[in-house]
Amino acid sequence: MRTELLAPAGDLERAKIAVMYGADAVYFGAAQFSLRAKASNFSLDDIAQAADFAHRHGSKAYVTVNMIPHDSDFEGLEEYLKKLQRFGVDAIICASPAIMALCRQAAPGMEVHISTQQTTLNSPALAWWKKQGAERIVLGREVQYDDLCQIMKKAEVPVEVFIHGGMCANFSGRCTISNLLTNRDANRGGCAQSCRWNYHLYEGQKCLDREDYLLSMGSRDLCAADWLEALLKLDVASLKIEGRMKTAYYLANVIKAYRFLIDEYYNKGEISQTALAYGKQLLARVANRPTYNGFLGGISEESQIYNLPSQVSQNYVASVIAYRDGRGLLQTRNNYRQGDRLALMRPQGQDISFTVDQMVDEDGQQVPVANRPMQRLWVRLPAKADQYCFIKMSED
Amino acid sequence: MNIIVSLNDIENLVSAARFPISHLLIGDGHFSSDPLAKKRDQISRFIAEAHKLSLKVIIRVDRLYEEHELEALRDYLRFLNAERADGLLISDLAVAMLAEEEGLNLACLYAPETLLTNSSDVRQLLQSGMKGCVISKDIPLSAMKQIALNNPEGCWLRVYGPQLIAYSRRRFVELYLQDGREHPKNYFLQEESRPQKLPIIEKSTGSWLYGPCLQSLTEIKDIMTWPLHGIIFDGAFSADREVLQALRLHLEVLQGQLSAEEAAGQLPAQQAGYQALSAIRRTVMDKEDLA
Repeated sequence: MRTELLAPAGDLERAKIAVMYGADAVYFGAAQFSLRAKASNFSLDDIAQAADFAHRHGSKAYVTVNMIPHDSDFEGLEEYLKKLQRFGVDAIICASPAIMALCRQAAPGMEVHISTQQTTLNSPALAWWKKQGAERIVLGREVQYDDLCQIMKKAEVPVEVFIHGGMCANFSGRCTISNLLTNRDANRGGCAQSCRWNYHLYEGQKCLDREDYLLSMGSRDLCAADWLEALLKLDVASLKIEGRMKTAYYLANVIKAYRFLIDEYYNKGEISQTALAYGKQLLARVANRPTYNGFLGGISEESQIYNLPSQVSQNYVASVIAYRDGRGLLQTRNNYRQGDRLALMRPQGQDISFTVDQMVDEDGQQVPVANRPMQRLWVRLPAKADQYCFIKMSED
Repeated sequence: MNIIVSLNDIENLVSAARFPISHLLIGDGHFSSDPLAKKRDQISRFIAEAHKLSLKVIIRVDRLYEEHELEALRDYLRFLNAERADGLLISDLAVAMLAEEEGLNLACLYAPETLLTNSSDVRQLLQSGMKGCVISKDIPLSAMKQIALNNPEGCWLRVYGPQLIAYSRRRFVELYLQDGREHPKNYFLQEESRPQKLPIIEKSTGSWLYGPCLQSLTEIKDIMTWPLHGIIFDGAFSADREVLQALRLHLEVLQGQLSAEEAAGQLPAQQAGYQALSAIRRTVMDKEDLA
């Protein structure tokens, strides 16, 4: 059994990107029953299309139904689950025993995966969920590698592990700071990320604030590339990328990096240092918070962000809207100009660098610089391209 | 109706037993969130003394546990069973599984703080063998009542005590101060634009962040008509005298000896302030919904 690479998608376009860049499975949700109220732009029709697209390319489609529901949230849920089954969705990811039971009764053709919102950290908890009928468990992000090894020896249900993306400061599902401070429900898709705000620290009445920054619970993001080979050796069922709110370009790079590294492992039996360096180079391209290895190596002093700035990348230059006669119609994301060295990034293969020789707008007028967001210009490309390609700054 | 009261000091056992309570809630240092923790011999004595006073004892085994802790946890559960503890307040489903595997006579009350927000999940958990479920405190009072009505005799409700709003494996204070210490009491976080101070308990096993202290003085008469299995006065890190004072005030309101307003004025001071159970609002999804 090969370990699955599972990627997120915030809309249909991103679901297609995820599949094209090598995700074995893609997960997404409709706003109503999902935990990313703002990230879910999937209509029922989009879900059907995404599942169909994934299947046609040999991938699977999972739908998140992972809110911690209130009584009223069950309205329409049974019909929704039946529709998901009709669309061919492979599994739902849920955090509620009742939703699991409802799915097994109303839509038994779909697997039920237990969300990380349940913070499953140990083998007896896995066994509890298996006994209730769960078919996969997404582990809590706090599981350390040594513990994971022991869990894998005892687990009688497939296990999914996060390898990349945002980390909750607190145990997922066990945090209602957002509820208290903003009245937005962390467990029903409204998390205001209040953990990332600044806090004064007191001992009694005595303020203990440092001079340089206030206390924040906000975590660095997870990047488990260094642990990937070890995780693959454990035969976990699935390695999961977080980030349903991330851009298509972010997803393409992150998925491509992990796809490359996983394929390297299965083709050569190991991930060489050279391959790892290339994969990490791909990961470093995309805008992100500072990263760390999560809890895999233990509880790290490097886990907190405090006032460290995000790494905002200007690397992404344009998306490809159309291709004709050797030229691509590019939609501008960051400035570029005639003479710049850019690169064409495609789902398969290495990037191809090229120099921008001529830029022409849709009226046929030559333009020396692309400096307006979403500006559309025809540019000669070094190879055939389609809507799944991106134009980025060249690294050569 | 059963009443659980948290207690830290065995010296207060007799005082507590003068109230019409049925259970005591205690915890040890390692396997619970309890910052004022008891060692095993103290737990044994606590259970024995409580039983002499016809009080049952619920043990707080309410952390989330890592795989490498399981053997120690299993051993601890065996110890509690041997000492004839009456039940466990749990937050990790693993505890229920281990108790079942070991054939222990320990009733599990599932109290994950945030996850029991609907009737159907509570029903599923009770059907799965859980002896009781503590309704989450982050839903409106009407929703709590509905869950109780739909699961008669299976539910417990926290009516008094600091509300846990976040639980983490990280140690935020220690990481911030870089002082290599535990911070089990008297530490607070205050969001930079808000006045309220939030108590934080930090031990080697993680951090527990609390919001305002819940009280149910206005609601207690109504709550006592619900088909609950019991109510809980859980002082968490509070001193026993404060919890017992709060219990007395709620009972006096219930018996008509004090008005809710009069009783509220006599509640022990709390750094994070108080929140009435009925003041918990229905939450929304995003900023637009707030408008």
